Amino acid sequence: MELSRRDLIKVGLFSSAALMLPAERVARTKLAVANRLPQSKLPEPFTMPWKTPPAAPKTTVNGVDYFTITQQQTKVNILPDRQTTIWGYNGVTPGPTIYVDQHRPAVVRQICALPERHPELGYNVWTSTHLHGSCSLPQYDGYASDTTTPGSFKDYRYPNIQDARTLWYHDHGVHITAENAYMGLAAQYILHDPVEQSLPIPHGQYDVPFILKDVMFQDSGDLVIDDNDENGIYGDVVLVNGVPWPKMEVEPRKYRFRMLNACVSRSFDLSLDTGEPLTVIGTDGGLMPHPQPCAHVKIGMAERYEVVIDFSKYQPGQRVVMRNTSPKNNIDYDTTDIVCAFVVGSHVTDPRNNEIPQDLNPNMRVMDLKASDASVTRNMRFERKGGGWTVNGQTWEDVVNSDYELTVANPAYGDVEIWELENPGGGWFHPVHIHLVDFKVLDRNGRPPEPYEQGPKDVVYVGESEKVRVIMRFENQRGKYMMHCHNLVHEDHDMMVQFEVGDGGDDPIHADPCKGQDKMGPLFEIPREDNSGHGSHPGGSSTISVPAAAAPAPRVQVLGSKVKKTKPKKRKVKVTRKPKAKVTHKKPKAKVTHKKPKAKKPARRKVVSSSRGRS
Amino acid sequence: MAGLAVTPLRVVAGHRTDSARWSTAALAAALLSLAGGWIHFAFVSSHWRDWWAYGAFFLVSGLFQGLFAAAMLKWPNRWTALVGIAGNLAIVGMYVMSRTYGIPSGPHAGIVEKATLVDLGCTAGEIVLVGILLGMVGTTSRRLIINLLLVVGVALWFLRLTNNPLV
Repeated sequence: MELSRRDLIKVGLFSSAALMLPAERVARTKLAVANRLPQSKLPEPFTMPWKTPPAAPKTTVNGVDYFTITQQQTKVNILPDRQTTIWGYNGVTPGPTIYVDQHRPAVVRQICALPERHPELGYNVWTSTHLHGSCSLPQYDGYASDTTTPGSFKDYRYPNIQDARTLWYHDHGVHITAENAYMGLAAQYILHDPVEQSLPIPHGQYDVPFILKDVMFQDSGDLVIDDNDENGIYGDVVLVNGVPWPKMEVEPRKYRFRMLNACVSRSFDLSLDTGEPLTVIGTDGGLMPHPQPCAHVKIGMAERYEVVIDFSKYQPGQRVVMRNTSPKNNIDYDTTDIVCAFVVGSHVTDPRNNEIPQDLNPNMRVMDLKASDASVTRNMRFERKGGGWTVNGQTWEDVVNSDYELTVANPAYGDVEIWELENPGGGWFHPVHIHLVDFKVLDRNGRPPEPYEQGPKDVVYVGESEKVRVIMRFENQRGKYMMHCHNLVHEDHDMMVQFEVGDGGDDPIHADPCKGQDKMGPLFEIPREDNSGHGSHPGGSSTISVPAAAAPAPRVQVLGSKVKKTKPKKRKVKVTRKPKAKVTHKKPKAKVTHKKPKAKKPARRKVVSSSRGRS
Repeated sequence: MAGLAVTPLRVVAGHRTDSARWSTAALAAALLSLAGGWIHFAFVSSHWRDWWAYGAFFLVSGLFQGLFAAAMLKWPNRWTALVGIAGNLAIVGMYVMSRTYGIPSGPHAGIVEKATLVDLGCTAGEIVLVGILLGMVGTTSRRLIINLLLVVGVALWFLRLTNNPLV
């Protein structure tokens, strides 16, 4: 009846595997946090030189710009004395900046050459690339469940029909967006238009990408990835364009910084140590109607602000430090209250475009919207419920379980609506991103928006116990688009829902899924009459892709499930409808037909990586 | 091993008899199984909300372990023990898969869940339960199962140490 010693050893081998392998990931995270690189080993602030992300090579054929971006795992020197494993677009982080012009469509081929498993966390890897700020078709919007697996690629098509703005492309792969983005999958995409180009604001070398991110390093140099029990990933090192607390040599003139908060969970409140204002000229959706001088600018995750700093006010050799007065509910460290420094030179090489006109973009349609234009007001409540992050009690899991039919709103094409974005919680903030549209912030808890928010936006900072009203017109595309908190950990767990504009939009998952690299043909063909090279930029030929013979077959995954491409099998899941967003019909217009509200269903929630569940 | 009837704990001259040991083992197995079942039941509703099949798995696991506990007390024989071994190893196997390779199907297919103290503790209990039950089956069956566990254990460690994406 008793087991022999040999039996115990045999069973022990199995038992150790059954208990230690599952615990390994958690143990690694704990060890990594314990192994955090101490402050004494971090670089001295303002000693590392400024870097600007490289421009993505472009080829223009028949009025279309083509780009090829490869998502790669590489080791880079973020710290001078240690190498860090990162995931970068073309192997760099931030990735290469894509520069495009209005009304010239672009095709960006995203090749996923990442490992099949995350090197530290061990999760199965997939990506989905969202061009944040673009009114792309649903199948090119980086729909979270429209994933691309290692060995596959997808050609994203972007219309570039909107006004000049600072967009960015970043990962949006369902449930692992935070980790993927934290590893480095983020970059800017800058859209120019004639109006913006004609303004005497800083251009060229004085128009500078400024990408904020926080990270934490292990002693080995690799990143510490700890989501703090699904609350957020916070680092103790502030990077600007991938450099820890860099120092920038500037000329005594105006510079325009395209600020992007690419952090997973950290917000900033930025100011200059000299007390001089930051003049905000642009927001997420492009130039503001008028510039706004601000003593400080609070920037949540994914928000963009174009800020002009006038260095002509300073003495040659003077150092100006950009500080961060951290908004509440971040995890702060001694080193996160500073961002970067500017050292002012004595000579201006180009004095042109050194102004801030009072009228920047007076034709921005969204900024002309008034509350009375809206036919519908909907309430969207972002809250923690039953251990999960929800929007009106819904999660992305509910969307998946409904076979992607569940929506929180169905505005008709062209409808103007007000959405009340509400955060009843006091322990966290939610930068809320509504895909597809630009919106205008009407008010915040009944008060006017901050001066720097008075431009077209697609993300708004919904602070603790705040209700922010935004107004928007649903136009440019039809179909299903996401809305979510841009704390990417909240988004992954599972504060994301969708709305549908009009009827008959393309299916975001099946209209143009990723393909295996064995099916990768040329990205474009240069027409014979264009063989002279007209219209092509140097380096373009390298973007012509050749089919890879040994590439693995494509794996089309939807939310991690393998899905047949031809006839997606519908699960027999009985879905009880969730209550839709609270809708207040203010002024039903004659032409607008509102869908019948769907049957109410009990509130549900979803915990992805349940800290409580098992098996 | 011969007397398989339910026997109260008995101590003879300060030493436990075989049947007393058997009873102790059956009682311990039943208690461990009951605890495992209770933990599975506790998480049925939260998993059901994620996907009905996840909830169903927890429900079936909890039911199995609860009923097994009763069966163990009522019929503490080798066949009951074999059923318990098979069922608990299936649960442990699913657990290991969900924490290493990823959840095999459903909306979270491929996602590797985080291990927590609760689920690690529960799994440890199930493994101890299997160990106890192994002592209650026949020699041939025991050798077969233990060798099978050895093969699976070696395979898991081999896959992990060779950085195979399966674990």
